[in-house]
Amino acid sequence: MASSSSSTAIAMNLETVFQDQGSPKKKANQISLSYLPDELIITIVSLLPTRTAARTSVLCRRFQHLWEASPSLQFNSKDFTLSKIDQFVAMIDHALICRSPSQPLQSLRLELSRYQKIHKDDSFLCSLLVQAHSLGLRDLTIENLWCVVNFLPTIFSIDSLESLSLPIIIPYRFDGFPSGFGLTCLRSLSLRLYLIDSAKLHQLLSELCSLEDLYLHIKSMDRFILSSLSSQTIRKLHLTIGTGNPEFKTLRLFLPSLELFHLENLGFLHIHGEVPLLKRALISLYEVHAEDVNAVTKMLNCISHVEELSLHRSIGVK
Amino acid sequence: MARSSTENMITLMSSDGEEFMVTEKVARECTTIRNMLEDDCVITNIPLPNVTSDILSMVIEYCMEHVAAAEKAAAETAEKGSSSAPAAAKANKDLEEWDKAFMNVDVYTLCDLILAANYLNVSGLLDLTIQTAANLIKGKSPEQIRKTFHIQNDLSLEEEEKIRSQTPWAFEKSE
Repeated sequence: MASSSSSTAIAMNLETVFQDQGSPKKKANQISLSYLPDELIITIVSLLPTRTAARTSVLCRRFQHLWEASPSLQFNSKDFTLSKIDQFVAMIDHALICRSPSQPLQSLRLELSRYQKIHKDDSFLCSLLVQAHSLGLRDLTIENLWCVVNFLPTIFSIDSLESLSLPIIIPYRFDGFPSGFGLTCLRSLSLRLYLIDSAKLHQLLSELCSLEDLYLHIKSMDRFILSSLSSQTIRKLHLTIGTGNPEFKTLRLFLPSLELFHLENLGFLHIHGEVPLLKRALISLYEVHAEDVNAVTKMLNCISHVEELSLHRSIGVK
Repeated sequence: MARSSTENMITLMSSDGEEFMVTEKVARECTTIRNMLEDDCVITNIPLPNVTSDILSMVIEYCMEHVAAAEKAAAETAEKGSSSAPAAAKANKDLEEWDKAFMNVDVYTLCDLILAANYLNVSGLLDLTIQTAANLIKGKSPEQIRKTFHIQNDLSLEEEEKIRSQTPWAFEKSE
């Protein structure tokens, strides 16, 4: 093996190569997409919405079935006009319902803005979720489904889930989250809530024994009482709070493992907390009134040992 | 690039015999090389028979840029005691812009980079190149995808029609 030359020579070598990049060059063996190994093509295809991914089936013979092995499925009902909505169902049938059990499914993203137009009852979506469960689904994202509460028992029974993101939950027909489910692997949860009391949230968090990452978006603080959040395992908390009535609420945090706290749009909130491990706090305040200064000071006192603090104020102090 | 004399230098040799001397820190961005160094810490000369010199130089350029960005961020944090969020956001944006400009390559180079990033196990570069390839497929008809990636269609018209009829929903014009 040749011994290494001096670093100056190599540096010059590097420079020449970089300069050459601009000029057109002829290569002996030009590698394009069809020369990549199957697993890399499948990774590329897995980043595409399923409808686009399936188009690769006709590129050439080798591509015909590669898209079917994608570990990730993304269905968006908006890709289909209302008159062609049966095609959306056919896509889910082909890609998910008829999927071979030998091909596990890692991630599923459902955008169901036209769900009500697709099926009058809940059986189709339920069977889809049950099939995803049997394929060992790990990441589930559902967008734009107003009646999501109907499916919570089915969703919460998918015990292989590691990450879950749900569309906004409105109070209509919502009696709380299912209890006694087995989401013991769930590490990441994203919830958008509208007027829901903290007892229901409390009960949910107490059952999620592996949760590390919680994103909580509360649309309105009116009539909403979020009095405390507690979890032994949460390391990252992202809390977004919409407008509320101008009356201070107190939020107590009992999060002994919390390292990162990101708070947005603090309406009228006192924060008290036991967060001994907190390292980073990102706080964005939008409506700061003179009386808030006291609240902010109090909040800063309880997180005084952070290593990194960033404080934003979008609207000036009144 | 800052280079201290005490830093270990590693020589990487491409398939066509060109040698590239890089700092150990830059070389460690490649998980494959990091594992080699951890197995045998005195190794200083690594032959890479699967990577040509033009592609290896690009991989090194990517690793150098990302190591420099990480070092700059760490230095700023050490200096001020804490990093300011706007400065960190700007640095992230700058690096994203750099990545974007770096991906302004022809599809042959892109596919070579995917293979090299996969072989050398540079996760950031693999994610970047794979995403770039996926973006080139989005919004295109099969014919346009074939043209973009120079794919030879070896299906007969009848065969293609048959495959299309199995997934009509993929080929419907939307809206």
